[in-house]
Amino acid sequence: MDRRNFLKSGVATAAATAVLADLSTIPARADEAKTDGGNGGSEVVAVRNGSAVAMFRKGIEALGGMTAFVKPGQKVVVKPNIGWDRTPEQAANTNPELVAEIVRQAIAAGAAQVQVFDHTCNEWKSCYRNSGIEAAVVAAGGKMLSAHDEKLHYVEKSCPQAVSLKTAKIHQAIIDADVFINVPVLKHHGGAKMTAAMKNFLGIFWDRSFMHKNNLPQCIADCALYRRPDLNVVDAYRIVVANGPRGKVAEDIRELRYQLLSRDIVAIDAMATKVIGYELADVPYIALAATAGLGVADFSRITVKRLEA
Amino acid sequence: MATSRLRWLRYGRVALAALTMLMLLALICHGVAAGEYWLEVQFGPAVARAWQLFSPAGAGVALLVLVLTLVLGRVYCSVLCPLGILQEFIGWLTRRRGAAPGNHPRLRYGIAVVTIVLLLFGWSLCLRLLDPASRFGGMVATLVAPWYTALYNRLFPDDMLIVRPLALPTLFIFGVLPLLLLTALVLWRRRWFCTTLCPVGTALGLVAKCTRLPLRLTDACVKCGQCQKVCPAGCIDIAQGSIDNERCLRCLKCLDACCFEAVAWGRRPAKAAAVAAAAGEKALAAGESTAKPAAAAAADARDGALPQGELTRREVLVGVAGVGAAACAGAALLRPGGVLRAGAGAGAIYPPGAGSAARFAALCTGCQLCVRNCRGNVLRAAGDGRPGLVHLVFDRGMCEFNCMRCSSICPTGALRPMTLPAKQRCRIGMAHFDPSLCIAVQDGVDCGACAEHCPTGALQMKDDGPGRRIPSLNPDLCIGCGSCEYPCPVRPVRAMRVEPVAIQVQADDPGEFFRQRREHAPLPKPAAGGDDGWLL
Repeated sequence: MDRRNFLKSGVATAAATAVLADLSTIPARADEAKTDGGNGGSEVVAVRNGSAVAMFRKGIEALGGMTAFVKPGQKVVVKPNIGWDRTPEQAANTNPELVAEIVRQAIAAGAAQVQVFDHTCNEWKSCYRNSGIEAAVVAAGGKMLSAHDEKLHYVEKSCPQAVSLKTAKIHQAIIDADVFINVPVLKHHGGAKMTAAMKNFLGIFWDRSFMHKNNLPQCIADCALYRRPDLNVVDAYRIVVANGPRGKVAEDIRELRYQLLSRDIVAIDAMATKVIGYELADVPYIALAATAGLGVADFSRITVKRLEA
Repeated sequence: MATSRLRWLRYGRVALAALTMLMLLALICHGVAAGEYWLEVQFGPAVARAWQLFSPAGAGVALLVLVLTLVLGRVYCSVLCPLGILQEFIGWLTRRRGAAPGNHPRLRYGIAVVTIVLLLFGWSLCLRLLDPASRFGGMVATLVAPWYTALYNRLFPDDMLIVRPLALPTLFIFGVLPLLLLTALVLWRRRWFCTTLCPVGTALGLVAKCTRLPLRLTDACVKCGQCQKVCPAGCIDIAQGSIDNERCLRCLKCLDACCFEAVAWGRRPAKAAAVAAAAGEKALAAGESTAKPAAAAAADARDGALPQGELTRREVLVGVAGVGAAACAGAALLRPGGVLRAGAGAGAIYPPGAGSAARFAALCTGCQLCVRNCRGNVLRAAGDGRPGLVHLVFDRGMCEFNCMRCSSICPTGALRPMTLPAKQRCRIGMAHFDPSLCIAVQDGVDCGACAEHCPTGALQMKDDGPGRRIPSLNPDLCIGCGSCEYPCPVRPVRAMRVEPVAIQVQADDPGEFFRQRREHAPLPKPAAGGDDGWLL
């Protein structure tokens, strides 16, 4: 190592240390411009009528390809919904093929590692296995992380600008990640009316019970303050339209063959209400998140790019 | 000098015993599926299963063990019984030889007969106390598995095993106390448990008595007493030159100890005694009562005319009286409202397949296999103040909808095996909703944790005024799995609680329920709108 490199790494280490020291509090919104699309609006890409993989390929291409999100050597976390011990056909979890395709593309874009996890509702090993996501991710070259031990996997963070969720235990991998790709599945939800991009954040935190107890919609809106996703992909290939989020019988499921992609977590949820057939006002956390400045909920300021796969 | 050939026999026994131990430890501590074969062959549970469930598999296994014993003697006790192996291990570890256990046929047969009679009446009390497999399971589950789990989770944090709570009384009832008692017995009289207390051993001993390949002393014996000294079963009588194959545990230490190769395992050479024995057996097979003296003579000849192994008339009478008294006492205790059923009531929530609180209370032997294999981490062993040897508590999880490991692994038939669809409708408890505690009702906030987790749709969030959604319970669909109680955020008392049911029944079929309801009120189709039918 020559002197220059030594100095460089020294400076980098010092900077990293400084950043880490400051991390226990979530900094104010630093990357706001990124979600605003430059002109005060947001862009959502909608793709339909293809396999989950084909739709993703089409959609990500419209957003500039995976290389626009993942730079070589970066640590990537992909967060699907793996909440339930259900099969892919039961649509309670994100489509495993979609998750695998994202992992593959992230690796192809040069990601140093791609990690996938969810803090599941059912017993985690059954969820990982029966959702098909574990096998698909491992085959694609990604790594499944466990997320069910409070002490081992979670760190406590505080977020002063949050309204209800002022402090929370968040998964270490999310803190460490350079790139965070949020891949929910669109579903009806008994408690929150609809689950998509924002509701999916509950799986990166430890204590869901606190959120259910302390104004769930506000907590869902607060969640995204802890870590903005770099990319949201809403899987609406099959959706649970009743008895959600788990789904009880086959009739609860519709095959829509849609997919939404956006940098803006609020805009994508706002458009998702149209896909599942709800009014924006039915899903209170979307307006709350827009008020907090997390993104755009106003349909007139959202540009939708519609593509056929 | 002992020949290497005979020594290898003993080494083989030790190797097989170690394999059994390893597989059962792997099963109990880690849930390794291959270990289930070793669980299947446990004789006590197999007999219980065969009787309680009329299980052909259980009967087959029991028969197989009996045939094995008939051919080779009680090898089961040295290579398949985990408690026997554990006692050998304790003996080896302590290096202390207790006195040889005596021969107590009255006690032995008495215990075995009481065990069988109670089992016939559907009460596994004796197995609960004395079944070697069940007691071994209890010890490992409480004394070994927690340490194994801690170690494994430290080594492999990405593939963690479920950390199960263990109440202090549970640790003592199932772990410390039995292990201390067993160790004390080994130090006092070596394998006194196996030759005297164990009902499985006694049953096998009766078959082993007629083994085709007995262990015996040959003419080469110089009566040095080395074999008698090492025998942990006390079954060698050097003065008489005989080995009691009924009590011989086939540890094969005598083969190793004998310097003169005077201990033989196999058919005796054709001699007068053998001829007499053969005649006796032939007569027995023919079932002729007139052959009785010949059979007795043959038995005498085989056992070296050892009177102590045979029952006197008085002993038989005492035994019959004892069994009768025990059966009466058992019936009195077990009758509805009797001591043992009074406590059972519907006191706790029991695993799917238990049938009823009373049935389960009578049949469970507390082997802990279900507790160790519970994926939802809801099964608990006795010791936390609730009735029943095993029951469910929903503080760490819920009874997982797609899991039926407890009923499929239960070795005794206390839990009936079920198909998954049957298990998914088996009502083990009934949810109880307390609106006065529910935050959605009282504070008007969105929560829905209970309805979100409910796997059958028994709980739904219903509109209750503008922007208000409150839980609504349909008891017909509820299976009492605790998927509502576990996530309910209300403390200290939860708004959703599962109450025990006295008898497990099938809940309504959710598929049928929702299909019927939707025939009347179909779900709205997603609106087709916008350009080219785009939804957005």
